[in-house]
Amino acid sequence: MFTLITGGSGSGKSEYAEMVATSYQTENRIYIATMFPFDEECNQKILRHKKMREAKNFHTIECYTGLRNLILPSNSTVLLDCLSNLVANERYQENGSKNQLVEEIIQGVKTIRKNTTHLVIVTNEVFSDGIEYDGETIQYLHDLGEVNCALAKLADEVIEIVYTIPIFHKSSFFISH
Amino acid sequence: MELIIGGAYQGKLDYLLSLTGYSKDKVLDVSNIELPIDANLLLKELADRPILYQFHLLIKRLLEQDLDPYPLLDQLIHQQSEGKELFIICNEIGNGIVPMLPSDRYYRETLGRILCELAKESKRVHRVILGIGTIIKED
Repeated sequence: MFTLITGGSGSGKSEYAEMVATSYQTENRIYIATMFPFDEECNQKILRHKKMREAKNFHTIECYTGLRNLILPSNSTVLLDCLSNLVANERYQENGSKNQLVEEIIQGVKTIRKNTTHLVIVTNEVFSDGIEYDGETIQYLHDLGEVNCALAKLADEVIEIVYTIPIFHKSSFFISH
Repeated sequence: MELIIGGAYQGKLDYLLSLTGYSKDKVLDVSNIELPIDANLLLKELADRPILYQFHLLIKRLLEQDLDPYPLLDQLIHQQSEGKELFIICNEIGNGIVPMLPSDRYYRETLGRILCELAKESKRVHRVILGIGTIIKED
């Protein structure tokens, strides 16, 4: 099963994604963390997420770029949180894939999907603030939007979280949670 | 308690008024409320005007003055647990690029977490877009 979860800031989407991931009984439960700790605010966010994951038996792997190089065990549930960080990392970090990032991330997800039993990916609803941004931010929105649309096509289910409430935009026949 | 959310200028208030049949004198607009808030006075006013309108601005004002919004939140939740009628209308502000200013980021995230609490406690949550409401949660 491949579930794509989206939602705005503070919507409870990560907590929901963890609930979905922990509903599966696989040998391994892996959390792919994407937030690069470049300041205190990031550290606080990372800490909050770590606390939330406590006692949920995740093995955490940090991956800022190059998703497709990850080697993951079979019979695993993988939770990737989140695409908005990954897109920014691939664009702005030195070893990021820059203009190839959309294809790079889609290929990375396909590789993970092929090797794992269940995949849950968190992305971010950042498209509705009505602000006209400069070129760099427009490019970012464009990239994340493209990744989101491509992954929604691959996903078995797509869920938007609105203040903890799930809205199913694409549903699978076999929903187990 | 019922929560009505949606983007700015989506017709949330009109939707609720037409749904309930209430007139505008049931609306308590908190966008220019005096701070610090007298919670007891607010709750008293809500007894006559149960539609709490522009809730996001109330939270914004509180945070701007370094006031903790959670005691008020607890009182609102307590009020509804006693079965009193309450409608909270609030803009969704979390669906954008991470703001440049730390205070804007804090407001955005805090309002999100508060709405998560209110959504859990509400018997109904309505989401309004283009004037059209959808009930996304009903107990």
